[in-house]
Amino acid sequence: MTEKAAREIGNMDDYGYSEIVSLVNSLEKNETGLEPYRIAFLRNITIDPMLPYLKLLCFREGMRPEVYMGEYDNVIQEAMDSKSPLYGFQPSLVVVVLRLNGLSRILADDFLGHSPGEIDDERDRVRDYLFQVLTSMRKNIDAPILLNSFEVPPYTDLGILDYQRAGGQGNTIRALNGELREVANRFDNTYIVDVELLQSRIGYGEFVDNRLWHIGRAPYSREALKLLAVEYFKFITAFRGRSRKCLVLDCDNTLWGGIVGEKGIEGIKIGTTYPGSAYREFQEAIIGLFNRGAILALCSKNNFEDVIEVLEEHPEMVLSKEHFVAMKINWNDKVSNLKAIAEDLNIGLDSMVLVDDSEFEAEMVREYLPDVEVIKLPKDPTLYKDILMSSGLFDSLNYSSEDVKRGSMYKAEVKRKEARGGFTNIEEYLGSLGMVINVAFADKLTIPRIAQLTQRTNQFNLTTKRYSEADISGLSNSDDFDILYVSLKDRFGDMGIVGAAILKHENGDSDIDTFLLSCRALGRGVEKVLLKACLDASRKRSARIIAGKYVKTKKSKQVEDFYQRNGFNTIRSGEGESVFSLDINLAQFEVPDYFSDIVSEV
Amino acid sequence: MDVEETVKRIVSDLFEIPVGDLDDSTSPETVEKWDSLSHLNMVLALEEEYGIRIDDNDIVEMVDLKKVCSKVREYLGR
Repeated sequence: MTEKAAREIGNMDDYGYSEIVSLVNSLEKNETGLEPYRIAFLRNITIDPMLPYLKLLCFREGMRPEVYMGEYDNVIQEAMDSKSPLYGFQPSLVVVVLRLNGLSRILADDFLGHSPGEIDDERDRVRDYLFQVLTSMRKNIDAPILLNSFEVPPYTDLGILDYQRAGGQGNTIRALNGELREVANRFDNTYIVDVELLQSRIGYGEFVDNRLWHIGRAPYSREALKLLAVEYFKFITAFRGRSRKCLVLDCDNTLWGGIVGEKGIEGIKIGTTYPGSAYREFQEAIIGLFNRGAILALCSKNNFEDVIEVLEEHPEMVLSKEHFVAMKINWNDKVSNLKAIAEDLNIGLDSMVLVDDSEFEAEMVREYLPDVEVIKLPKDPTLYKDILMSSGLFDSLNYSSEDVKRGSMYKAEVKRKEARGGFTNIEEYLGSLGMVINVAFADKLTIPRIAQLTQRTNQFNLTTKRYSEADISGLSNSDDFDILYVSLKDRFGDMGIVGAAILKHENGDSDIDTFLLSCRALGRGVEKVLLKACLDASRKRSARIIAGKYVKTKKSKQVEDFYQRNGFNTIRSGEGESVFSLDINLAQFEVPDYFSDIVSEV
Repeated sequence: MDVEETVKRIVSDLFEIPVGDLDDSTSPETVEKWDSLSHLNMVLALEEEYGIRIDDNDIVEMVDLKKVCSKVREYLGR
């Protein structure tokens, strides 16, 4: 059995609860070769019935989930005990599940029995408790932490008067949730899971199951547990740098109602009245994702002219030709088209999502391209927007100005590829691009993008270490570290920041902790400019030796000999990791001469 | 729609016992994996399968497989 077998699980919604339990049991027995992902739970409620959902999602993405379930209502004790099995477990992720009625009877169940002063003290006590839990955990582990926010009671202590008062029970708990977020923001890699929002998706009546609470201290319904598992998994996906990048859309009955080849541009449904308004709403949601940083492509079995006419001429279309970086509008099968899109854009199939209303197309793509996530739309277009947004496939934990520009950057890349066709000699082609490189030290404005690169870059990444913005900030402020980045533009467009390196200077030598390049900048020699900058930065510190490491991952095989190819000596070569070093004074390092300009701060 | 067959499938999935080994007297006493926690899982699975909501006192009365089947039939008959 392989990772591929794990991936063929398909859609979790197709399985009943007991089937999922059985499937997870057999996966646990058989899939012993997968990469382990250790999830620890600290909790004051029974949360075990959620595990089959979360475990199935992990297996589906080729991870072997291992769970540590902390003792019931022992959260702060375990967090503060450095010898706790929680830490011995070496979690990849810690989830803190605290329900307010267990943590504060006063706020949850006896609000009116206390004076405003006592309520304020109680709020402080809860906030301090959580601060203490997080502080203790951060003394012991760097792993990401998720913290559930508190449910707001559906029937508050003052009834209809409650909301009118800032100090009412509902508003007090809402304000406390806001404070939770502030507390979490003070720690690295620590995030709030918005339980209030999850609850609002299906309603309190569907979310909380009071029978199970009283019988087994398990307050959440099966639907709620599934929602929680899906939400936790969105975070896990983001931590692993596996957020999807490219949304591929069908046209007929996806972007508009009807088949343009049959009904013509006048006959399709897109506009301000039903059902066209539903399709318009869907297009607006897609533009939202575009603004978030997703790149868009079309894949439709149609005559090219018919679709282009709609994109360019139809007055009610929200999406236009400009939004798409690739358009495969032809009569070829979608599998071939998707592969071509992946190749054109130089992205993996596992970063793509296909949205299509056809069961046939969806099944075929699922069968032949299991790495592509497929969303099959139902008949009712008024459901489309929520189906797309609830998938969370493009959710990530950073958002920078580069994300807004991403679509146009990919379009420029396509133009570059077209220009490439005219040259026989690669150096001539690269010289013709008029590339200008900037090398500089990280600062407040560039830190978000650098952090994002460490989280998303999988191929040209020597050590695949993931850093949050707070991490990069901290290192940047430290005297022992240099954080360098390179940005690239050419005559087709500005690619922004495309690479970064983190240097650690210790005991008179330098160590390259992180060295990576975005896939959009590969094949141009930009890495040589960055490597030279690392040498220069180390030379400035009077370092004698610069060392680099290659940590083996499935996706980074192309750089396993990067240091060797650039003149480093191999110090140690192993199965998982190799170490290289270079004497800085002996280094003879040349940067390609086809760059138009290299501006370096180093 | 055979209630006994479906209930046995669900119980077999949840408690990791072959369907053939299940009978009327199967209970938490005879099955290692049937504990208070997995009992709740069984309730969740039955409710999902049949679209029913089992009262709390009925949950605690499902003390063996025979009782589980008869309770489910009651709810379906209601």
